[in-house]
Formats: sequence, structure tokens, C-alpha cells
Amino acid sequence: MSKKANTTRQSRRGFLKGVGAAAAAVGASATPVQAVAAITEHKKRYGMLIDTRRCVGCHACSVSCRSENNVPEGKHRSWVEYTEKGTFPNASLNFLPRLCNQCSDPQCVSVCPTNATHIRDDGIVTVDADVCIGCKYCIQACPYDARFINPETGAADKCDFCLDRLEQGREPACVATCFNRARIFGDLNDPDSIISRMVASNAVSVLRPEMGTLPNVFYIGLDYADEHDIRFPRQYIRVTTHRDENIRR
Amino acid sequence: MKAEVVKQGRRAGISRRGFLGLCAATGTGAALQLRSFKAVSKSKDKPGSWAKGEIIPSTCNMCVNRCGIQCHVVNGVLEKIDGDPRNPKTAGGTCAKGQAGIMALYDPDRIKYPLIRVGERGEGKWRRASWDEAFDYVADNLDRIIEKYGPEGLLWSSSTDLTEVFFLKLGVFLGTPNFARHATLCLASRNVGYFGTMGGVPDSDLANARYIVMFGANRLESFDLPHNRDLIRGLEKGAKLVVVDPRMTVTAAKGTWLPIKPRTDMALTLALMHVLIKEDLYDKEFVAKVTEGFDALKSHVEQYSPEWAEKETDIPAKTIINMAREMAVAAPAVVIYPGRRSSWYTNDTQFRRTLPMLMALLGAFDVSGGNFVNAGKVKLGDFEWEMAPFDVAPCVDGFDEGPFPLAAHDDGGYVMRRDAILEESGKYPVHGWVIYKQNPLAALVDGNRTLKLMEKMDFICSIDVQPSQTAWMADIILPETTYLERLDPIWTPGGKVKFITIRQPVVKPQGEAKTILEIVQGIAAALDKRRTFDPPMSKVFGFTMEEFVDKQLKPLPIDRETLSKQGIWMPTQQEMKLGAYRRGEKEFRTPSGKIEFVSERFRRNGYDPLPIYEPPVEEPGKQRLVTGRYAWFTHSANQNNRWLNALHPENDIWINPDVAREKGIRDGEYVTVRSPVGEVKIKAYITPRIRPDTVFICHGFGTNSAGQTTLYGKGGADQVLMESKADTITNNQALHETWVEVIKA
Repeated sequence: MSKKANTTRQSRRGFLKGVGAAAAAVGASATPVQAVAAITEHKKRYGMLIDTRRCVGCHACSVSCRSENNVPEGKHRSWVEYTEKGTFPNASLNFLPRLCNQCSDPQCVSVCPTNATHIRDDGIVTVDADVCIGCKYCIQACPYDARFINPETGAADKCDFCLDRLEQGREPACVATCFNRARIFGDLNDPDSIISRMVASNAVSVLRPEMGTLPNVFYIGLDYADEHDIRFPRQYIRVTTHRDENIRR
Repeated sequence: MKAEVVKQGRRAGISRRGFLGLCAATGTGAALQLRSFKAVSKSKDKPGSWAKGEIIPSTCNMCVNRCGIQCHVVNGVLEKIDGDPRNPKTAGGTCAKGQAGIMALYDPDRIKYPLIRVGERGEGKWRRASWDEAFDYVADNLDRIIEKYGPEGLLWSSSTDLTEVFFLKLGVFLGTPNFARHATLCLASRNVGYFGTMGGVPDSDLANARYIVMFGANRLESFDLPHNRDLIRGLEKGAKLVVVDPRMTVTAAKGTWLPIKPRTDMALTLALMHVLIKEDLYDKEFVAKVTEGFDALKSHVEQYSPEWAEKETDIPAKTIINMAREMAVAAPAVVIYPGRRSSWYTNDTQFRRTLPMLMALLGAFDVSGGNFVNAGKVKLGDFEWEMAPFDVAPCVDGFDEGPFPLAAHDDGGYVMRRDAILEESGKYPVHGWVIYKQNPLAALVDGNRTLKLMEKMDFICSIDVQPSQTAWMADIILPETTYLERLDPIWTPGGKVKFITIRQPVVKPQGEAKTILEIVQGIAAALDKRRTFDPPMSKVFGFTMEEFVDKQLKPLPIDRETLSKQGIWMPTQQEMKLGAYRRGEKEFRTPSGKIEFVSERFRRNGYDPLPIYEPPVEEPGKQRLVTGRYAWFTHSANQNNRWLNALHPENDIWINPDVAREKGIRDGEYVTVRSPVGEVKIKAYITPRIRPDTVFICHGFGTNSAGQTTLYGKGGADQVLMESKADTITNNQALHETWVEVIKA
């Protein structure tokens, strides 16, 4: 009974998972089912922390994402930008892995005329391809250039933290493949999760905080071309996105 | 809120996906249905549901590191590759190349059937042949060449891999002495340099080091697991990384970059030793106990002061002195990284010798955080080949008869061998070339000469998975299976932890591709019909790969079936202990049993027993060409892989901004790069990450093979520009000895 009461606050997906767990537990005592319900009870807010100090710009994440999500060629859910600065011999090279920032106050959701783009209970912003009419408002609205029209579905597409992997209890593809563990994924609402502790104990920053989108993707050691560089107009700066088109910041 | 309502409403009407989810939830019977559905509509369906398919552990082969992978297969289709978290070397990670293995398997350019050339060489006109015809064709040609010139009329080329042994054995049993393997394109000088000083190349404990010096080694772009992972861990724990390199690689970007003048690395190591000895900073106990010839070294390096080195290397004397002092403070937790590819300069072996000498002065050996001898390998069962050794002719270039006494003769000297055949200066003519898993046209310096050699050959057979540059010039291409379609011999890496891994087929071969063992067996059977061998060739190769693997596994408490389920096995007893060398319990494999500052082996063979510095010859107005790779390319193997090519579709030449300004070259425009032996057109990439006297071109582009549809027509080939120069002690190619002119097009 108590399980049913819980599911009203859960998404349908969560409900199905519950049913599956119940089916698996048929014949066993009721305790595990209740335990599952208890674990899923608190509202999750999934987020990612990217430690750019550990990132070596190897693009394992980009290709893993392409493979996992069948991202069409020429489109990108996940990519890495190289930022070169300075003059010889005092040059620098930094890496900026990029993906949808899964904002808590996303502009893509507020402009979507059909509500195809929505925030799930667990904080992940997703697009319902069956509802999307492909009007591209969200692509214009996104300050992170994280969206594209998937030519196969005609709908807007972007990173969804590999929802299907999450449902199987696995990490997103980019996180799992990163051998330097530059990416940490987890529940920001759980104060004991590794990501919560890392966010609490490090100087973290987000991309374009001035947009007020409240991103859930955090960075340690963030360095990219920004307004600080305007003070050095003669400095060499190059951002290589490794994407086919040039992106706007 | 509104979004939520719509979402729930939408989802309540059962969408395709929701329906499937329901099926999966209701019972196991639905699982089959799900898999078949997924396989049919791979591109349309939301991804991810494949994960309910089969997971097959295997071993990657996108580069030579052989990481553990888990392959997700649905209805015979490989859908995703993940890292295997149980593999101690890779711990669940894969790189971009590993992820793109799927595209190597399903590459539209892949060769799926035996192809026999019908047009001119390199014209790209082929006809599909049956395997029987292909084997007969190869056997006919081999038979004809052996009849006319003897087995020594064959050049037998291959690169290191688990399956190479079968191809090599075929060459051995045919009786050719002319092997050409990858060692002298890569690391021969490092091996011989270290061998001369301390009897072998040590491992590096990067995770626990406090000071790491890398000479040109680009570990964060050119992966060598677990070193790249350990390096990041070491840096996180506070290690200092110094990268000595004329260009700022990713590795240099993560540490302190010392933009050294190319070919002067030895001046730096000698000056460091000078400071360590002069300021009395060296590890006296270690030097007294396990080294030989310190006094000679002391008087030898007296001439190499930091001030002198500053003039040679462009690195300030102050920096060199500080570096030596910092190293001494961090000692013995200092890693002097041996590096991997050392085919740089003509004096490379002597330079490599100075690295273990520096290490010995710091006492940074056989200790946590320093260099050490790793746990070694798991002892596998031997496979006994049914053939007695017999006499073979000397090598065509006389490589085995004296010019390079310290080099490994089985590997051959590639440049020397090529030139001896091409110029007919060898002992006899060579007319046939069989190439397996190698792309000499891209790998060898002075590509135009290699092309000439190919034109000269009567017969070229290439065994490859893709129409590489070399395969494109062949008379027949035999399609091999990729690593995802075959069982390979068991592999045991050397490292801190001993273990074995299996590479097994995860999907059926594409087209009619065969494994190299099957190909060798086919050629052997066809040869038996034409010639008499004792015992018959088909008997020598009359075993299956399963039998081979079983023999390897015989001494171990694990069978093939269990191993193929778990992918990896490690002995419970891991005996990795440090300190035996330091305590003098173990001897080094040198004539004196110690680390030799004055190398007895070098002296005996007529080389300088102490490394003597010789300054490089400058060519003002020109730039020295250096080469390397990006993290998602391996040699010339996967530039045509669609997913990897998309990351860097076209290579470019790195030019320092000052040089570009002087020459009026703008970023992104095409320039002509000219060397004494070749010329290429290539895009300019202007960056402060390179010295003004150096230019860099990423290797593997500029293919002549129109069969590589993704790559063809893009970028320029670095090997076309490189002059045929080689290291004087090992005949290792010297890839960085060419001065080029960059001309605004």
C-alpha cells in the first residue's frame, strides 16, 4: 500500500521500475520491496562535476556518447573544447568538456511551445521526440549551444545524462569511459554522495552564471576565453571545439 | 508544472518505448522481443536498451595497449563497447579509439573479400576473388619467387601483435631471413640505450612519484596504460611534472614545459648530472653500491656545465640548476621516464643511455615513486612448433653480420633493408613482399622511396582490414578479421599486477574476412601442393586457435571457457616486491652486474662507453620537422575511422606565430612544405605551443588510397618529407632529422 502512495510522486518510469522490482521479488518477503521504495523516496537532482585538471582532452567521452546515443555524424551531445592562450614560451592549453548543463532554470524549457522539453523529477532536462515539432526555439535559447535537431527524428536532441543507462543503475557513458575519472556523476540532493561532497569541498564554477540558468554541471579549474581576456587584447587565444561548426559562446 | 502534466499525459498513452519498457518489466519472455526490436531499428529507437543484450568481455586492439573491454552485443550486432572495470591496468576506462572500435568493425571502407588487382598498381581497380583462388594466387607467386631467387627473395613485414607469431612462423618455415618489424621504426634505440646502461628498460611508478621528467614522451596523448592514468594520479598527489619537448603537447600542458632546442636533450641530461655531482646532491650510497664507473663519469661531465647547456638547449642555466636541485630534494621518488617511441635523432641511443645514468645518480631505482622492475608476466604454456631449425641465408643488407652488433637482429633495420633492396646494393635481389598488419608506405621515412620499392617488387601481398596506403599498392589484399571477430592468443602484460586477458570473437566476421591463422593455413596448404616441405606446411599449421590457447593455459588453473566468460584472470599470489636490486640481492643484466656509467658493452662493440655530446647542425631559415600524434589516432591505423576522423578531419602544420608573421602566413591557409626529398601541401596552424625553429605535423594523413574514403584527399603526409636517416647504433629511424622550408603557397 505504502508503495502505491509513493508512486504518485514518481514518474511513470520510476513506477515501471518499481513494478519490475516487485515482480522480481514475488515469493520473497515484502521487506526488499519496501526498501526499494524507501531508497527512491527522496527527490533526486542529478548533476555532474568535471575536474578539468584531470581532463586530458582525449575525447573518449565524445566518442562514447556518440556510440551510446547513436548521435548522428556532425552533431554533438558531448564534446571537448581546447583553449590555447599565451605567447611562446608562456603558452597554456586547457580542456573544457562540454555537454548540456541540465539547468534547474533552463531557458529551453521556458521557450518550448509544446512542452516537449521538460524537467524530470530527478532534475534531468529531456526532450520528448514524439511531441517536439522541431521549431528550434530551444536551440536559439540555449546559452550553451548544447542542442541540435536530430535529422533522424526531426526533433531537438541533446544530452540526457544517458537516461537509459541510469535506469539500469549504470553511470552515463562519458563518465564510465573516462579513465582519469575527470567526471563525477551523482545526486546533488544527497549530501553524502561523492559529487555533493566534491562540490562542497572544492572551488567549483559553472559556465555562464550570468544567464541565471542554475546549471547542474559544475567544473573544477574552469578556464576558457571570457571577459577576463578582454584585458589582454593582444594575447593569442584559440578555442578549438572539435565540432564541425563554430559555436557561439 | 505544466511540463509535468503534458509529460504524464503523453506517456500515459502507451508510446512505443513505454510499451517495451512494460514488456521488460512483466517478465523474462519479453526480453527476446526487446532485443530483436532493438537490432532492427538501431537508429530510430532511443538508444540504451541494448544493454540488456549479451555482454562479452574481450581485449581492445585499437592501439597496442590491449585494454579490457566489455562488448554489448544484441542479435549479433555490436552496439556498444565499455571498459572492463576488473582490468587492473585500465580500470574500466577506454579512450576515444577504444570507443570507436565499433566503427573499425562496421567501417564501410573495410575489405570484406579477397581482392586481386586488375588495373595498374595503385590504380584502385580490383576484382573479388574466392579464398581458394586467393590462396592459389599467393602460393603461385611465392613458389615462383622461391624457385627463382630462393626464399631469401622475400621480404616479410609485420608489426607486433598477439597473432603476429603465426605470420612470422610462416616466413621462418619458408626460410626467408628478411624480416622487417616495427622495432626500428619505434623504440630500438631506447631499448639498446637502457640495455647498455642497466640491462633492461624499467617501469615507472608515476602514481607515487614526486618529480617526473619526461623527455618528449607524450603520455597523455599517446597512451600507455596504466601510465597515463597513474600520471594524472601522481600529479593530483602533488608531483611535479617537467616535460622537455620542442612543442607543447597535452602532457607538457599538464606540467612545466621546457621548450628545448631539438636534438640537444643530451646536453640537458649531462648538465643535470654535472650539477648533481658538483653540488654533491647525488645518492652516494646507491652510487657506491650498485653502480660502476662513477669517477669516470665525474670527470666526463665536468665539461658540461649548465651555462654551456644553456647555449646548446635554450633552457636557462638557472632552470637547469633548479631542476637538478628539485630532483635531488624529491629523490628517490623521481621518475626519469624512459619513453616509448625514440626514433628521433641519429644520436638517440647515446642520449637514452644518459637517462638511466641520471636515474642512478638520484638513486631513484627499485623504490616506490621511482623507476622499478615490474612484476613481470604470468608464465604461459609453450606451444611447440613441429619443425626443426634449418639453415637460412644471411640478411639481404648484412644486418645480422656486424654493422649493428647491439641491435636486435630478428627485427631487422627497416630503412637499411629497404634501401639495400631498392638500390640493389644487397647480397641478392628481393622480389616479393608479404605484409601483415603494417603500413610501411606510411611508417617509413622518405615515403617516395618506399613507393619506389613497391613499384620494383614483382609481387606484393597485403593482409589488412582496410585499404591502407600499402594495401592500395598491393597485388592482392587478403581481408583479415578485426579484433572483435576473432580469438587471439592469450596475453599477459607486464606491470605492477600480473594477469592474463583473452581476446575473443564478439560478433561474426564481416563478409569473408578470415583470421591470420586461417590465412596462414590456407597459404600453407596451397604451398604444399606446389613444393615439398618437411614436415608439410599444412601439418606445421594444422591446429586451431582454440588448441593454441588451450596449450597456453595448460599450466594455469583456469580453462578457456571460464576465461572467456570472465575475460581476465589473475593469480592470487602477486609477488611484487621492491628493493632487491638496491640491497644488492639481484644483479643487473650488464657485464658487471651493476648500473654502468661506463658501459662495458658499448666499449666492447666500439662505441663511446660514456655518452659524448655532439651539437646539432643548424640550417638557418628552415625548420626542423617533428612528428607525433593526437590522442585519438594510432600511427596511420584509424585516421579513416569515421568517428575519430571527425575529431580532426585534416592534419595541419604547427608554426610559431613569429615565423608565420615573418613569412606572411595566415592561420588556416595552405602552405607548401618542402624538404630535400619531398613536398606536401598542408594547412597552417599557427600556435605559440611550438618553438620557432620547429614545425610539427601529425602523422597518418595524406593517404594515396582512394579506398579510404573518409581520409582520402585530406592533409599532408609527414613521412614523404623525412630524409632517410637512422640512429648510428641501432639503425632506428631518425624521424626528426629533417629540415623543411615552409613556403607561403
